[in-house]
Amino acid sequence: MIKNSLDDRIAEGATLPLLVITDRSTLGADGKEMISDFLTKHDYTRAFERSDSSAFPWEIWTPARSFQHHSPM
Amino acid sequence: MRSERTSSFVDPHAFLNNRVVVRVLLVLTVLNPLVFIWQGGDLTDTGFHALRAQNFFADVHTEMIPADAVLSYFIGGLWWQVFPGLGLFGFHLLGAIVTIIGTLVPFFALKELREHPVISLVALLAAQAFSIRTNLSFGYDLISMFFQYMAVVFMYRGMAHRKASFLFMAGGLITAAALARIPSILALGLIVLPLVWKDEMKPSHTNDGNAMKTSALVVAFRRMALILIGSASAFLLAAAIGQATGTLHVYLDGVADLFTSSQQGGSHNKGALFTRYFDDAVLTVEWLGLALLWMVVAWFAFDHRVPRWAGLVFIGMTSVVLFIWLADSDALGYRHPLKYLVLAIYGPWSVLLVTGALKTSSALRTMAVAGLILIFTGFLGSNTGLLKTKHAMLFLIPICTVSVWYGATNGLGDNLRKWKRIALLMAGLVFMSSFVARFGFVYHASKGFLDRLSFTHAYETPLMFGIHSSKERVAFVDEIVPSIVETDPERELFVYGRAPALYFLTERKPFIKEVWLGGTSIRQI
Repeated sequence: MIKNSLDDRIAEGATLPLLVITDRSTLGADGKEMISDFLTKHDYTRAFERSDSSAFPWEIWTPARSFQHHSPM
Repeated sequence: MRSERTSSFVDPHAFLNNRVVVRVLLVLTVLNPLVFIWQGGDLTDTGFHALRAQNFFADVHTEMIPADAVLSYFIGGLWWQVFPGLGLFGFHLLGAIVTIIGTLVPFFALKELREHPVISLVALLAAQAFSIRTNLSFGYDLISMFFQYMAVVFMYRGMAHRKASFLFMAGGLITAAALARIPSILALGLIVLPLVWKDEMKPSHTNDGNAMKTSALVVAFRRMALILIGSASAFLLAAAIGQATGTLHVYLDGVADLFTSSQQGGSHNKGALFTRYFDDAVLTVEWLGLALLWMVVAWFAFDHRVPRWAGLVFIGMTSVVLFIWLADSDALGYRHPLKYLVLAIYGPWSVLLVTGALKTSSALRTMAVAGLILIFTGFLGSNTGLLKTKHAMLFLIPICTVSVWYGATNGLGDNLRKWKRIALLMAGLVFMSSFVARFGFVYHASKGFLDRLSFTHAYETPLMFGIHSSKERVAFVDEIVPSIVETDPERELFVYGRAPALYFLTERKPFIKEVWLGGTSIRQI
């Protein structure tokens, strides 16, 4: 369902979004696979990351073509 | 001798009508919802509702329209337009204001509640505390229930004072409730109230002085017709506004999608919902057994042949047990079975009033029917089992409690005083339990009893102005929000996780309509 919604927007020609993942460990196997495929397929690059050891880990991913800043925390 | 000792202990009539006590209780009714709104940190529900309100006027012409609760988000959207600087705190405040008005209006509108102000306000405080014990912020449940409370109040006033305009307005308010949350269309069931109501006023007189002979049933049907016309008029008005603004078809499509999705998988499909409701109903029946056992013990503890200290010891023991029970770290917040216990007490009690097994005034009986209907409109459509029956308690707890003062226990003779004490004690215990439960739980943000004590760290993120939370949660938001803005100040956002508040806090448009994603076992952010 989510994948369909993403694909639909991209098929409409929408600009790829900034992607934020809040705590990858909670996404479940299907969710992790889906999001990894999406990141790879659209050539995303990680812009920020707060590590797994943090109380609330998170990641910010940006489409490679628009990537301007990279400073892992 | 016994009666002398009782009267010298405290004059109950003086206390129960004391103006100072009434004023103190009124102030508490206003303060109670406000006392914890400066704490929070929930990025799920609170953020979800705030996001939809924030984007309402931008989304209303698109498929992003919140069709399931268009009137709620219209109100939230107006609030956001007027008070954008208040951020998420503003939506806490809006929730508190709606709750305060929703509590006070029934008190001032219902004669039976005003006639026993201290009893009523204690019971209303209990109901208010119970309904907000897990969460208090703007959302469609709250707004929809507010309209339903007002619909009941308008019906009461319309019938008690024979005001057709009030009945018409009541119908409009039912429609407003449905527009504020689609499943609340069931509030149309309130239309049966005129059938239960019995007029206390003498029949109207014609110009020649003869009493008009109109049967009660005809009067009831006339009133029902007025309510229905009011409801239909409001529907037509809403449809006309939708047509004029070009949003009607988008809204109707959204509603259709809502019903389609309920047939499919996920947490809101019909099968999953009814399984939850059934399971919760079974648990409620089990807690009814415990509630009855407690009442039997209370009955003996307050018997005039038992020393007074026994009653005080009983109250103390009950309080201690309740406190230990509420501190159970495995069942905090909305998982706590307090929800079953309160429903198990006031649900059947209302049924006894409605069926006439317990005698009371016609008005209170009618209000008990309204409360029972609100039980169903509260939980149907929700994926939290019977949790949302809490909203109906705003009527059921005060109505049941005050009903004892209106002859509900005619057959009990000398035991009436004892029954009054138990009724008031129960309301008091519901208030204390709910307040303690609230004190020990911060919605979707705390994991342990008394966590709230450490929620003293202020956010620097502008739209979290005024809210205090745990150190870790504050650090999370204060780092991720500027990082998102810094990475790209314009691009749409796709948050994969259950944190729709991130859209709101960054004022970014969601890339897709689904803003609430992630596994079911997610660590709560």
